[in-house]
Amino acid sequence: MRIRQFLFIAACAAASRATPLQVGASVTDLASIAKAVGGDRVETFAVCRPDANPHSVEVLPSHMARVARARVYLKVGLGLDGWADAIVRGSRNTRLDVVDCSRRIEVLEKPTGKVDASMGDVHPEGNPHYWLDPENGAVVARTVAEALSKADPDGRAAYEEGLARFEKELGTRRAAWSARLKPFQGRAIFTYHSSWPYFARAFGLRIAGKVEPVPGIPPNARHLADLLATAKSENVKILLQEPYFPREGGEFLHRQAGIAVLALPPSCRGPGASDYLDHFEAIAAALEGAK
Amino acid sequence: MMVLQLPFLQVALVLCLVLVGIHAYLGYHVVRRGVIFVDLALAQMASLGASVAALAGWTSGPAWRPWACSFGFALGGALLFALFRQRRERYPLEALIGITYAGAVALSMILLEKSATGTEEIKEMLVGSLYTVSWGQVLETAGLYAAVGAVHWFARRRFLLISEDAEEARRRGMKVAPWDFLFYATFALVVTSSVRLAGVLVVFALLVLPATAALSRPAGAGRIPFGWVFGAVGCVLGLESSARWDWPAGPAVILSLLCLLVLVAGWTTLLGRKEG
Repeated sequence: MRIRQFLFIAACAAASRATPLQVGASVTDLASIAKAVGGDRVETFAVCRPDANPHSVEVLPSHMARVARARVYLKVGLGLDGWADAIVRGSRNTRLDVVDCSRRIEVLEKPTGKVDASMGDVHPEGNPHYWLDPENGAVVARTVAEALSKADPDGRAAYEEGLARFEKELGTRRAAWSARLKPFQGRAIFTYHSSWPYFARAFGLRIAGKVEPVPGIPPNARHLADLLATAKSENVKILLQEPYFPREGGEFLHRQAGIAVLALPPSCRGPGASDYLDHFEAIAAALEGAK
Repeated sequence: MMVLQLPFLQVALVLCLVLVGIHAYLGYHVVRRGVIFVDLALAQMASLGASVAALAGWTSGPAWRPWACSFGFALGGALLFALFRQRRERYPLEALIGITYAGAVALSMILLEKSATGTEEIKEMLVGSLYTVSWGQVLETAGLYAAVGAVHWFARRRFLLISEDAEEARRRGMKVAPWDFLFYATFALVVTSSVRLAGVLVVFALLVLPATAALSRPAGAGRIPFGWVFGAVGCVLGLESSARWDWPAGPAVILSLLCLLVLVAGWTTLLGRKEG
């Protein structure tokens, strides 16, 4: 995309009040929640593609250009999207509100005491994959609604209304997901990376092991053998794994113990395609398919 | 030109020009010496040093400790390459470079498995990104390269003679090993900082491509300045195409240098035919 066009649009945005508020986000889930809350008053975009690893993002000129014309930027925080700081810095956008969406989240796996060398690539601030619990989606929506109202005070009523609508829909659909995932309650599963503890807590699954021995490090032979033993003793049949992680470990577990490897992206496709709430639908369907 | 209009592109461009300044020059030396992969080996030694620092738990302490550890390892590599020259008749230096690289990768993988704190940071040592650099980092780097450049300016005749014809240098009574050590030590200082900013791939390309293009000129006909101009034009065009077509910066710069090299090669072949 042409940067000049972006600049042109940015100039137009300043000139006309009817143009929607530009809201950038690190991941599609935050963009989707912002769209749900902001409706037609906002235009959202996400930097990280939904099927890409949000831990590392290759910075493109278009990212800088889009953030340069944004008014609000939604960060995941907790050390996940450090690259967003570089994009924000590089965009030289002085009127941008950068909002850390982890602000009110009750964070899991926050290391207590000193982070020690054996713990792996842990995020010292705790596990950042919080959006995979729908309750946290509601928490984020409130943070987002406040940020939007601050950037665009005229829209406060609309954002409050959008927030209420989102919370209501989330409540209804969450009840349906819980009913669908009832058979999985208490079931032990494996995950590849430590990205699913919030999801597991929300729907009562138990994570019996992770393919990565410590976050960021691929499995060694002994660790895989340990997983096989766990799979047998705890009757593990499912491995949740993001599509961008290496497949060898999962294939080994599939061959040896018949474990079904579900390649699930950690994020929704984005507003318009399949939104934040639809993503839970997709995860539930994948789990049901593997039952 | 978009490169000149947008702030993040301006930083990237200035950084590229600073990098070209030292790398096109050092690249000429390593290409002449036939030790092109020495930068990969030294960068990996620095990364091994960083892994050792992580194992020692220094990542959370003062910043100079992991830096000193990683530079210390790179210096160790430099010493190894300088001392090895005596045995060069029997074993090519390229072999030692390959061995150092493989050994350093293997060791740091084992260390990282034992001590995984800060692995992200160590990975980042090898994959910089041109667009996320700040003016402060560019200035710091420019200062460091100016200091290295000064050392090389004072010793330029000796370094050039050793790179072009080490035997002749020895015949003239020069002690080659200490000069080699100084060369590799300054080289290690440069690549450990540039790889962090621009990534292994870009640094490697900036070393090899301008120097190779410069070899198309006859000896003594301003080969190094030619490399500078070549590198600078390549960086400007690369960043411009990155901005225009939304490509990642590093690969765009490398591709543009490659296209320029093909042009230069075509041009010299044509000229050669005419003259021949």
